[in-house]
Amino acid sequence: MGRTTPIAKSQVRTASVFLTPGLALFFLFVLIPVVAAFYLSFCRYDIIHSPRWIGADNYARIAEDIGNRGVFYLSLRNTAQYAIGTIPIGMALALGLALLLNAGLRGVTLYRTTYYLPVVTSLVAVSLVWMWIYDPNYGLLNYALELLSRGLSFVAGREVLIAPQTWLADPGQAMPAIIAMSIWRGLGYNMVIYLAGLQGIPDHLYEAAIIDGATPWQRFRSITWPLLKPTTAFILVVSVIGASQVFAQVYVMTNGGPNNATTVIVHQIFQNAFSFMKMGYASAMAFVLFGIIFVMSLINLRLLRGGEVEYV
Amino acid sequence: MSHRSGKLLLWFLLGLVALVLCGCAGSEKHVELELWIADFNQDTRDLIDGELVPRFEAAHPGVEVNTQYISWTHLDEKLTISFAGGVAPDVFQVGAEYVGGLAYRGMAAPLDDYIAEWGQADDYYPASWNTCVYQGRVYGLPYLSAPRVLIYRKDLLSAAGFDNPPETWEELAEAARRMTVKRGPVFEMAGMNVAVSWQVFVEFLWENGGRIFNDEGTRSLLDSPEAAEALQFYVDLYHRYEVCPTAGMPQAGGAIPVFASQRAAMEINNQFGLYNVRKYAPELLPKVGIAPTPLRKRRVVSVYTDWLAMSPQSKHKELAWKLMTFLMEPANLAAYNATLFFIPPRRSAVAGAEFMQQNPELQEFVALMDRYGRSLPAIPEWFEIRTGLQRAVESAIYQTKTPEDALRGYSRELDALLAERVGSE
Repeated sequence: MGRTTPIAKSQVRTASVFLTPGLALFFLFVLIPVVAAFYLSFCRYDIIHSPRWIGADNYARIAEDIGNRGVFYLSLRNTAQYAIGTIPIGMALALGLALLLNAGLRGVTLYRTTYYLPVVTSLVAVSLVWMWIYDPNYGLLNYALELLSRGLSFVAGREVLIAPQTWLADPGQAMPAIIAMSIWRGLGYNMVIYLAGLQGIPDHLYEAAIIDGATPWQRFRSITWPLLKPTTAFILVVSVIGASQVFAQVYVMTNGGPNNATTVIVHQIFQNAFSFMKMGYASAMAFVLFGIIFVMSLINLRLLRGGEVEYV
Repeated sequence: MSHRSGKLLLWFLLGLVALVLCGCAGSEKHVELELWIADFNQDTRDLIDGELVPRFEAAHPGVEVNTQYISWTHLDEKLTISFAGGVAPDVFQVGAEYVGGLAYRGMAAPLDDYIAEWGQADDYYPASWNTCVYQGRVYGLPYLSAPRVLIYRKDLLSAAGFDNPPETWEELAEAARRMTVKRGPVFEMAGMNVAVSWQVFVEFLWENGGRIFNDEGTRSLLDSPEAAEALQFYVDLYHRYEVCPTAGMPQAGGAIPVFASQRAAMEINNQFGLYNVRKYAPELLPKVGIAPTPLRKRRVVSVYTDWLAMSPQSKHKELAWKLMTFLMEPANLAAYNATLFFIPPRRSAVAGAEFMQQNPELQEFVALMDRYGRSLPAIPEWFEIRTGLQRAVESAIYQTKTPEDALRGYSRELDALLAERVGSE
């Protein structure tokens, strides 16, 4: 490199001044903890005593747990269930809503805001409200069942009993209940992204299709869906990462129960670290989760890259 | 730095030291004690902040007690973090499962020497006292107790053909079955209100002569026939005798507890069962009876005690001990327990407590606790064991496993868990 001009020098200085706070925070609160956690995943560590190196024992224990279908295995299974339960339905609903809102209805802004409200509401607050909806004794949902029961009794002319359900207290219903709430909560975010995607599709394509006599379904299949592919792929990647890290609603609503029906990976990490004081084992779990998310994201990015469509 | 300014600095520092020394001589030494309380309501806070602490501070000039009220949900994290940071509270309240973990991690100071000198240990109920003992050493003083007994409706029981409360498991199941009222799939009256909880299983296990692990805390005893029988009986209450829905009885209006709202004929509960009847349905009180939990091989009343521990990091151990014993003075202990409707864990406090005399039924709780009381065994891994036990109990009651399989599976896990500590020692 030749001589640095005074201007370039002062630019470098300015840039460093602006970069330093961000980098310092990144090092202090992200990079150092990540490295420390990786080290701890090879230790036995209870916070009070200093960490003791035990090699790959923690990872061996995880493998053993999965082999024995233990609790970590259950948390993997439940996390997968949660992902499969929330992502396809959530994305389909979000796309449907986005199409409706994009059709030029009156009061679109109002609808858009309404659907987006749950996204900006605190997840803990939302979870607490839904716990009331699901409450077996005085919840809204069982009240609806009771009304239904009365209505049916009236129509049938005899007593038709619908037993009140226990929802979050029932091992079979708890995960679907959490999934339903999470779909509702995440809908607005995906919808807004889809709306943005839809607005990027040029109108002339639709006009040409209409002139060619394409039905609404054909227009959706041949124009909207292919051109939305990058949007869909983006939402998929973000949703898979989000679902792998699900925690707050589980912690608040069921704390992993009943019968471990809703324990998820992050819940296990939290429990081992802060209830059982097994920081090492919990760190190892965290790196297994990192591996899972990494691989899933690679697969998803492949989907994103391949087969992009362009109409000119 | 020049020679001259170095000299100036030295003089300045010397002056400062002199000032500080004069200040110390001039006033009493100022000491701050930190106290963490986990069982509290507004009345408790008024009592401690408005009366007990000011009295203690008046008796010990220069001492300031800083009381923090910590909810149970955050207690574990806060304790761990404060110990790791070297700023642990001098005196803190913990629960029935804590002694093993605290002692093992060096988070509670052994108090045997103080206690020997104090000489008031015999005044405590044995089951309450044992809650603070790990491997023969005492790590705290019991602050409140809650014994779990059988609470039943005399009128319903005699209508079902029983003159006396059920004595045995068989009688318990039969009485509960007869008193249960169902309309279609819906329970109108649970013969016995039972929660799906490891605590209930541990009671049945003890009554059947079983134990969770051996005395040394090195080996699981859950693969025993006694344990399998106990869990089987627990499962049968739901699925064979059908005395209660597995999800528990709905509470009337959402707020009134099941027994007090007359939707259960019996339940195993601590003195809060009684408190609820007094509060929500005082007219029911003459119809309510209290009995020891039914017998299998032995009578056991399980007692849950919360206690005060002292931090080994405390810089003022003598004063911390004075604060502990001040709070334990019979009148102070009774006043604290009165705010929460718990049972004071020492005899002299029970004898002098006004609220104990106003509630004659509470005396029955005390008598049963004194006679049959047993506390949880002390072990460092209680939190993990509690979680594992709950999992085993749930998988049997929700019928994903047989009681025997559930226990055998968890027993193997427990052995591995205990071996980890034994191996690292």
